[in-house]
Amino acid sequence: MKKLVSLLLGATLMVGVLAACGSTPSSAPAGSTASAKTSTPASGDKVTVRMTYWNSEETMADLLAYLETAVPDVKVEYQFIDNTNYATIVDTQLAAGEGPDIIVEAANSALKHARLGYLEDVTVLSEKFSDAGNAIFTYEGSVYALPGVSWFEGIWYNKDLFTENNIELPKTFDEYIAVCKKFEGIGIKPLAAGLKSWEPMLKNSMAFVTAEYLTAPEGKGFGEKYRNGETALNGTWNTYIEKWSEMITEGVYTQDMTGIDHEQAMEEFTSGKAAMFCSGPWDLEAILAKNPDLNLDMMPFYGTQPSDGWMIGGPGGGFAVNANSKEKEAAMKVLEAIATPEAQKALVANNEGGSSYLVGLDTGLPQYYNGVETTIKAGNIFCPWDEWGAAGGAHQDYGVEFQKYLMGEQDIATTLANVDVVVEELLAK
Amino acid sequence: MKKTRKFYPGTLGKYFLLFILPALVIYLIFSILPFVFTFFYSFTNYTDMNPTNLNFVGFTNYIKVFNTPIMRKAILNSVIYAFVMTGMQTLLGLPLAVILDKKLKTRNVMRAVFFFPAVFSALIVGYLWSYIMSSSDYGLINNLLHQLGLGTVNFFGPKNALFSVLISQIWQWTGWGMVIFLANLQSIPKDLYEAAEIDGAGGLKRFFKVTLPLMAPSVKIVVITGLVGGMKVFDIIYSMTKGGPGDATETVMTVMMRQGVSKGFYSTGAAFGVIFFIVVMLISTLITKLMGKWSEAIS
Repeated sequence: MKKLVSLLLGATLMVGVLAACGSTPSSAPAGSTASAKTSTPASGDKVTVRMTYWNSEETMADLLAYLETAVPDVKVEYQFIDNTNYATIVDTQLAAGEGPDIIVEAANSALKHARLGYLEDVTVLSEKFSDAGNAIFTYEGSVYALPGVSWFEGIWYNKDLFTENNIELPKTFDEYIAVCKKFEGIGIKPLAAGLKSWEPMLKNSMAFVTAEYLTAPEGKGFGEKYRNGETALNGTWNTYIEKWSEMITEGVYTQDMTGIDHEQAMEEFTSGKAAMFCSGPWDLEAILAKNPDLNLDMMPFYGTQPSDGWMIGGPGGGFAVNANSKEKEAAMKVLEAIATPEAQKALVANNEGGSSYLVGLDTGLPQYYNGVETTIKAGNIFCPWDEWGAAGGAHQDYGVEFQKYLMGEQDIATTLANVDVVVEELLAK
Repeated sequence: MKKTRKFYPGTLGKYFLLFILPALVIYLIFSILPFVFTFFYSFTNYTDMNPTNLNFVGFTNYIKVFNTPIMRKAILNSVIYAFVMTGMQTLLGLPLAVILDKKLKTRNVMRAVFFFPAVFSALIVGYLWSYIMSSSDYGLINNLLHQLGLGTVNFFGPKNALFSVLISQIWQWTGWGMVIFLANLQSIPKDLYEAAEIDGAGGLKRFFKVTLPLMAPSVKIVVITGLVGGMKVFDIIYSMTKGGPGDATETVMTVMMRQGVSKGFYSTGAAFGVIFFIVVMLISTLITKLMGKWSEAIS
C-alpha cells in the first residue's frame, strides 16, 4: 500500500511538471503567446484578435467600445504591456513568428519591424491620414502603421502667477529666460523640473533645436541624413545647444534638480511654488486632481525668433498588423474601422488634448490648451528622434549625456559626440 | 530475508529519484538551460535586428563588453555597493542582534520593528526614500534643513547618489542580517558565558572571545549573500535613480539591461551575463575560502 501511494504521488508530480512545461492550453490568459493565435472563435461566431499597447485600457475604452459595434464579428482582446518592457516583449514574440495580431508601434519599432518583414503593408488605409502622421511609419515607400492620436509636450503654466506678478507670456527664447529671471527675483521657482529623469532636458533642448535649426531650410532633412550616417550632432548642433545652455547658466535648470523626480516636480507646480512645468496632456488629470483650482494653460517652446512656437511630439503609437497573424483578415478589418472619423473621435475622447491625423477631422481642443492652439494649427509639433530610424532609442542616451553636462562632467562637444557614438552603434546593427 | 537496495540518502530508497526529479527538471529548465543558451548566444551576432540568422563571432561580444566605456564605472559602483552594504549590514546587524538577545521587555517589538523594512519590495522602499531625500521642498530631510535656515542638500548628485541608495538599503536589510545573527546567537550555549564570567571576563571581552568566534556561520551567510546580492543589485537602483544622474549610479546589472536588452544587443548582453557570472563566482569562492579559514582558525 505504502509503495502504491509513493508511486502515485511520484507520478502525479511528474505529470504536473510535464503539464506545466508543455504547450499553453487553449484557456491560457491574454498574456500568453498561444492566445495570439486564437483561431477558434471565442464567443459565438466572433474571431478574437489580440491588440497590445503600452497605454492603459482606459485610454482606449471608447475606441474598444466603438470597435465592438463597428466590427461585430471580431472581438478585440486588449492587452496592456508596461512601456518599460513593451519593446522587448513584442520583439521576442515577433521574432518567434508569434505575437499580437494588432501591434501598437512606436515609430522606431515600426521601422525596425517593417525592415524585418514582421508587419503588413497598410499603405492603402494610410491614405486617409495626413502625410505628417504617416511619415514616421513609412519604410521604403510603404506605410506599416496607421497613426494614432498625436502626443505633444509643452510648458504648463500657472496663469494666476503670471497675472498677479504682471509678467507677460514670452514669445522668444530670450524672453522666456527673462521671464524665468523675473520669477526667480520674486522668490518663485520659474520652472519645476524632475531632472532625476533624463527626459526633461532631452525634450527642452530638442524643442529649441527644432525651432532654430531642424525646421529651418538648412536643417530640414537632418534626421534622414543622420539615420543614414551622413551627418552627426557634434559639429552641427553645437551652436544651438550653446545658446540653449542658458537654461543652465541662467539657473533655470539647476544641479539640485537631479534630486527631484517628475511627480515631485509636478507637486511643486500644482502647489504654486513653481510657475511652469514641462509636460503633456497625459499629466492634466493628475495636475487637476492635485489642485482643482489651478488656473492652467499651456505655452509652446520658442527659438530666438518670434514664432507660433514649437512643441515636442508627433503621432502616438501607430496601429500595425502582424504579418504572421493567423487572423490577419480580421485584424485588417479592425484597422479599417480605426481609420474612420467615429473611431478617431472615440480615441481622442480618452486622450484629451491629442488630435487625430485623419484628413479633414477636427476634434477640437479643451480649454487648457488655448496657449498652444496656434502652435497646433501651424502644425508645429515635431519629434526629432522619430526621424532617427533604428537609432531612435538613442534619445535616452541624449538625455543622460545632458545630465552629465548639467553636472559639469563634460562640455557640449563631448555630450553630442557621445550621443553620436551610440547612434552609430545602433545604426550598425 | 531479502535486503532492500537503497539508493541514498534517507529512507526513501529508490523513490528518492522520483521525488528529486520535479525539482531537478525545474532547475534544469529555468536555470541550467537558460545559462547554456546565454553562453551560446554570447558567441553569436544575435540582436533584435538579427534574431534568426546567427553566426559565430568568437570573442567579439566579450571584447565589446570590456570596451564599453561605462563598464568600468558600473563595476566600480557594483563593488562599492556590495562591500559597503555587506560591511554595514554586518557591523550594524551584529551588535543589534546582541542587544536584542538580552532580556528586554520590548525585545520582540524591537525585533519586529527592525526586521519590518525587509518585508517591503525594493520599489516601495525606493519610492519612499526618493521622497525623504528629494531636493524639492517636499523632501522630508531638505524641508527640515530649510526650516533650520540651511541650504538644500542634493542627495542624488553624482557624488552622493550611490551612497543615498546605500542608506536606503542598509535601512532595509540590517534587520534581516540581525535575524540571522539572532538565530546563531541563540544557539550558543549559555554555559560558555557563565564560564567566561567565572574567569572574570567583562561584557566586551565575552563578546569578542565567546560570541564573535561562534558567530562565524551566520557571518559567513550574511557576508556571502550580501556580496553576491550586492554585486547583482538592480531593482533599488532602477527604482531610485535609474542609473543616474548621468551614469553616476550605473551598476553591472543596469548596464547589462540597458545595453543588452533595451537596445537589442542580445549577444552582448549574454556576454555581460557570462562575465558577470564568472566574477560573482570568483568573489563567492574567495569569500567562502576566507570565511572558512576564519572558522578553522577559531575552532
